[in-house]
Amino acid sequence: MKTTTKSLARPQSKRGKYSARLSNTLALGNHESFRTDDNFYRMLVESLVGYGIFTTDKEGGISSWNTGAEKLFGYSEKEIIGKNASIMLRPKDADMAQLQKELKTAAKKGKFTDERYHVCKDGSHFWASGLIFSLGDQKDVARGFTFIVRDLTEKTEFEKRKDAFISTATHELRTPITSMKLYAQIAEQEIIKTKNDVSIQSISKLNKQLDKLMNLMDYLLDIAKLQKEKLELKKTIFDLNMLIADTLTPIMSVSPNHLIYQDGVIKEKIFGDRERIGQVLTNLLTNAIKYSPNANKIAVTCKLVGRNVVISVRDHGLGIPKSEQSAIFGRFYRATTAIDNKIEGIGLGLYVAQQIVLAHKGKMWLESEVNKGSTFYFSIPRKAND
Amino acid sequence: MKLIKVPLSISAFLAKPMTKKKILVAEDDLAILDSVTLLLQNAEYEVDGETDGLKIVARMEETLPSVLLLDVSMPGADGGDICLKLKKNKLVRHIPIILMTANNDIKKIAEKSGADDYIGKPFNINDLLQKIEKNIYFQK
Repeated sequence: MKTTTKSLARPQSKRGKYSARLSNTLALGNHESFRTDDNFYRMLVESLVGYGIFTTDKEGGISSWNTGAEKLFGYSEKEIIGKNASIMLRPKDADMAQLQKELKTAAKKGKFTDERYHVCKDGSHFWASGLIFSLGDQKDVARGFTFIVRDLTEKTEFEKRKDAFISTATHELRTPITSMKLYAQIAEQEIIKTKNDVSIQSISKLNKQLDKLMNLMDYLLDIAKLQKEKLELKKTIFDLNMLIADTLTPIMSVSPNHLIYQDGVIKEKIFGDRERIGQVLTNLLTNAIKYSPNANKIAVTCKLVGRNVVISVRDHGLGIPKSEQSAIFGRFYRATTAIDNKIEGIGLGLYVAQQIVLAHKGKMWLESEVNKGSTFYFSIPRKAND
Repeated sequence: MKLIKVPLSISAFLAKPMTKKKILVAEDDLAILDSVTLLLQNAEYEVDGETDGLKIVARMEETLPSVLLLDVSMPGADGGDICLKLKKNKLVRHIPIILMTANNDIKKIAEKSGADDYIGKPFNINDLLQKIEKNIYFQK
């Protein structure tokens, strides 16, 4: 124990400063006694067994190692001192370049944070958050670094349970709604025969509300999925023109009153999640139809701009006021023009679409004028490499 | 005259139920089974219901329906696996199978299991009836 704490202080020429930095880091304030009491600091670092705390030189060579780190990674202090911190990363991330990049950022900005897998001595992985603080008096020139690693396995377990809960709950709720929807449809068929207006209106409203409930649940499931799969897009190489054609066909068959035409063809293939990008297009197109009750033309364009593909969907419908345009991608947000015209919706379509585009490292934006229509754009890197 | 009239009325009496197509609905949720049965009966089909996933193969061999409506998540057996089994069974493999599920991956499940068609829950009555008619018409 003692040797560990001593070695923690080893790389320091100005101990006072070092412990001040760490105690600030650990949110203990600037109290004089904390800053100067080296024993207190040693006890503190040693008592934080839930945290792996170690220091390195400016190249990443490990110079100190606390008990928490020993517990987390399985290396004893003797084994690890002098080794490079990159051995605690997965081979995939472990190239020195990646670590050097992080250290550079830490030196520049004072600290660097990330969440990623770390590797133990026995080769097993665990999910952890990492904080890197630079040690040095000057900007950009670090004498060394302090690493604080916290095991987040439990947190991700919780996230997993939450996602599983949402998806099970949605599925369980869907089952009774399925039968409700069927009964309502059967009743509707029979009620229409009676020609009783009140009954017919009531049952048709009941049906509409059930559809709304279903839609809402689909979106909730989507959101749960999006959060879970944020980094797990199923990317393939695909033909964008084919995807646009495949997306347009079912939509046109449902809304024969709207004329949707495509402008521009991209010869190059795209690397991305075909299904998800199709979902973005579907969301934009169904919005374009929904919010242009008095206009029937909708244009889909695609073109290459530098390394990106830009796809747009233009309608000549209600439009969105300037003041609301920045909020339109928010969860459950609905434009006043949509509400004033009594167009039903939940306000999740654009949110989901934007999340998908962001996951592709792309951008989504719009141009719109009230009563003239809206154009929604999204761009994604043609080769969406990580 | 009497001799002719009797067989005619009997055949007329028999004609309607004879032409009714039989559909086996395999679904563990009783409310869905009940509502599907009701809507199919309304559409002049004869309906058989089965709630136990393990009994479906035997039920199919015994009743030889025109179409099987099969829920993917049945207790005791996975709908996709049952579908694969039925498609290998010489007695019943010609019978069209329509998978039903609330699962979003239904298309993949249907492709993997060799089902003839699929429908996502909740479904529109007309969509379901159209699928049933189409599959009876194009029966292999």
